[in-house]
Amino acid sequence: MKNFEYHHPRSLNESISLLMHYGDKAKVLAGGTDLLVRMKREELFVPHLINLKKIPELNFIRYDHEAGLSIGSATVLSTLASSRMLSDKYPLLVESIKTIASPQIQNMATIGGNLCNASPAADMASPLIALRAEIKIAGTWGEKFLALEEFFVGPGKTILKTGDILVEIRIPKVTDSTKAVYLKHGVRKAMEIAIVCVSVALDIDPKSYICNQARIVMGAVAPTPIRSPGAESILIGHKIDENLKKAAAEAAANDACPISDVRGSKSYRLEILKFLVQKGISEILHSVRQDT
Amino acid sequence: MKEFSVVGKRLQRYDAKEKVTGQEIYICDFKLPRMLYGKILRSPYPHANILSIDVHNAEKIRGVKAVITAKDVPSSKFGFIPSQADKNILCHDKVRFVGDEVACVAAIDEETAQEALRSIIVEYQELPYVIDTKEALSKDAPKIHNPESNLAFEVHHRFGDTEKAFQESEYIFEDTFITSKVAHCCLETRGCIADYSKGRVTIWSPSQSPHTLRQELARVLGISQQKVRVINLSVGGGFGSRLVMDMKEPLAAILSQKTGRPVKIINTRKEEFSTAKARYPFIITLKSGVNKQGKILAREIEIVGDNGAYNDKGPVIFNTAANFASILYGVPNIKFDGFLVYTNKEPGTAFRGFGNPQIHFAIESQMDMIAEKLGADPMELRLQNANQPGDIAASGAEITSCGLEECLMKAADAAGWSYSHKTHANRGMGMAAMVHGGGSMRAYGFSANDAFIKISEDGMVTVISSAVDVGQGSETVVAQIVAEELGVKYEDVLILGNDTDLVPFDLGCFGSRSTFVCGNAALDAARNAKKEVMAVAAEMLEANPNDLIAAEGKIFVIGSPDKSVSFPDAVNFSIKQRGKPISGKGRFFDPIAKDMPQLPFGKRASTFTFASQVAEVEVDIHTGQVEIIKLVAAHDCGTPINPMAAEGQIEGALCQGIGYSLMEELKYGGAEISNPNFSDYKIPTSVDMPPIRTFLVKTAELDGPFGAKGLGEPGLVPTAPAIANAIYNAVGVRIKELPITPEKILNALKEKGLS
Repeated sequence: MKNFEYHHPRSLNESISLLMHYGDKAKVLAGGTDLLVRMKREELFVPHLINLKKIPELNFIRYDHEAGLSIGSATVLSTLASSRMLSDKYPLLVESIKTIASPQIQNMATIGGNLCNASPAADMASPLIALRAEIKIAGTWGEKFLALEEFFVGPGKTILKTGDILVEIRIPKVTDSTKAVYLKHGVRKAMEIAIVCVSVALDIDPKSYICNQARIVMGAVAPTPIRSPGAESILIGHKIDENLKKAAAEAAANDACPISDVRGSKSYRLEILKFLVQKGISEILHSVRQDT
Repeated sequence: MKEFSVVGKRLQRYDAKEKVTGQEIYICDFKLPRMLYGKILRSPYPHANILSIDVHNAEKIRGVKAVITAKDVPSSKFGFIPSQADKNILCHDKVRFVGDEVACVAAIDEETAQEALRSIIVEYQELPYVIDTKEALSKDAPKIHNPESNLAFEVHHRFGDTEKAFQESEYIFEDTFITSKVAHCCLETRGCIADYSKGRVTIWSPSQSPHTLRQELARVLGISQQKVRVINLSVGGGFGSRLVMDMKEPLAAILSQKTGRPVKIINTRKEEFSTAKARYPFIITLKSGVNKQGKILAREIEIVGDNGAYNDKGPVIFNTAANFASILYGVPNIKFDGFLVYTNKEPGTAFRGFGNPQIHFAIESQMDMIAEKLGADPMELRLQNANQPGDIAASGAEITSCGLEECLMKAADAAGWSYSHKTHANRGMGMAAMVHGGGSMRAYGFSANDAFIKISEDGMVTVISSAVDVGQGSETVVAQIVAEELGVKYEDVLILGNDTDLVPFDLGCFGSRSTFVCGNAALDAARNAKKEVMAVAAEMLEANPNDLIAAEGKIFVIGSPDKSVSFPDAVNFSIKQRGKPISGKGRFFDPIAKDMPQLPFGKRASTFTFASQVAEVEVDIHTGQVEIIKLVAAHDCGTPINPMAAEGQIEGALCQGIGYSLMEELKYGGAEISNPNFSDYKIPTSVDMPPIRTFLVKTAELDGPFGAKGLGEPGLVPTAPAIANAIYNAVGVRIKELPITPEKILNALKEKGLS
């Protein structure tokens, strides 16, 4: 690995000015479980690394009964996974974190790092989009909020410009009738990058089984994590049955545009995607039935 | 059976604590004063002419001490088999795979060396390349070495008359099986340190066969062997990958000679995956003739093996596969044709099992297909054909001890073998048996090893042994053998054996031979040392030496344990009172080895080990994902010296076997390996391991030390066919190509309309 200079700013403003100062010679270090690996493989050369993990403004978990959940972008994944509040109110996030790599990596990696790395297969992206997450971005120009699904541009690319930092992830309160699952398909049980992953979040009326709201979010089947508008519109306003599940799965496959790569072929990804969408819906239905 | 006090005990390995707590020193930790770091410039092209190399800019970089290209190194060619040498230390005029060595740099640190590599300008003329073996054999294929053909080597064997046997067969089966190219995945990447000083070169290396390395290095550098000293460091993974020298040792030696400083070269993980050599992938066409009763009468095997760009152990591996293919189930008529084909890819080399996992995947998969056709339980068919002690195979191999029948029954019993009665949908069981060598390997025309023992005044025993511990525990096993024979405690035995200046010549750690060969040599040395101790003890106890027994640090008269002398006292008495220090020299000598060229082919191995494994799997018909419910492995390893270490060997091998079966594969995107890292090259993790049960089926191997046979390799030999057979039993699809990925299963299920 080539030598680099390491910076550890103590505040958000200090990190923004460091990023502005070094421009494209600098990158943010937020766990390093992707970045340092790529640097070690010499796929990437970064003269200046700016560590965000020591900034208190970026490291917090807050819950408000009205506003919902707010997470600092430099919060470590294992901290999130061990939060009782999170297990209680956002079990989907805890489930998805536990599918990431290994305990060692969960101890280093951060939620913001997982998102900013912008892998189409990112394990945190689809569950957060399914839960309608918003993100806060800060830069010299100030700060703004936007929906997480607007954050990703392509593999490894986000809308962040030089000097911008992902500060916070906000997830609105989840209604009692909303249930969500995260399904990840890989060859092995840990240390796995998804061949396909899917998050399904449905608000289903427990009496009529009519689906009031739906989010179907897919990973590793497009250049970025994406929602399936087709599948969502098929589900919303209808009573869910076998035929509807199949139709939603087909619609999801239509909205996806996977590639063939070292992890799986395009046709295999589409098959798995259809299966996971159906499985996700079935699991939620099953859970609704159990509750009633 | 005789009760032993040290042999057969589950003793903790002598190196366990250091390794588990991270104290052990490996090559990456090891530094010498003034040491430089070497880096290799490798070809980015699979096939190209080198037009020019300009190292001028690289040499000018501050901290760069030497830059070498082909013109700075001997023009000799290297190959494991000298007559097949085809590899220059650095490429002269042509590169033949992505990763081929073009230039090498020594600098004060790795970063500077890396920077120097980037400053070397090489002008290439790209040539057409070929990566598929079938294409490589076509007339129009680009030629890699020989302008006539890409056929590197062919091996043919005929035992009996297969054509006649096929005429007598009721059923004939013919299937093609494809095995994958897999990497050894040693946690420690390959490397060495060379120090050329005072007219000698010393190599620190995690090698599996230090003496072979010494010969190879001397050969390629054109110097005498006595000018080369190899000091073995702790080996962070071997599995066959450290048996043959790669170009790091000569490059480091030449750079050290040039700079007058020690030079270390270590692979990056990418270099390890793409250049450190891998298991030979085989395309196997297997034709078997079976009579009505289920006796296998004939086997014809054609293998097209991917040699990669340079020769290594391919021909030997073909011969091993041919021999074992004739032994398993004692098939009387065998025709074997092996073709090893050059391609523009990373070369192959030895890998645990040495051609046997490949050939077993074919034979044992087809065995279940035969059973199905005959309407027989696969277990019954195997029992019916199982080898027996005293059998002589078509190749002439003589089976001494053989526990195959018991292995088959034990594994089936423990797994709750049920082939036809399914307990769950999409769940099934599969079985596979195996034969492997576990004793003396005679293919070299000699098989011998010496060991020395000295006993200190305080009774401490030092054994100078050539057993190379690559993590399998051979030093622990040698210590147990010596302690048992001398009647001392295991803790009182010290093993020395890491230096070619010190230890006697040995072929190295391969072929599951260390326990048998080095164990026998050490046992003989212990017997000779014991004679001296017993003579003096007899004098002290006023008894006949033949009436004495040594155990647990004491020597006593049979029948009267009170009449005893301690082992240290006896040694001390001998030295101080009689002026006779105590030592012993021992030898393992296989008299048959030297006659090998005149003997039947099957005599190339002296002793065989057998095993049976049962896998239970559940297949998700929607995704093709395989869940291994359990694995049971019953192995005949003679009488195990350390059952805990033996079980550890099997468990580790099963893990590798699962990877080989279900997920491991070096993939090529064009001519380049597209998964040269642990995120994309999948090996099973701890949570992927199913519950495992291992059984050591004891047989008495009369030629082995205390009845022991080898066990290093067999664990993964039958795993892939056992899993493949279980998948077939579970969901009815027969996958003949490794690895059996979810995608292959799903496609096969869809083809059959089952998903």
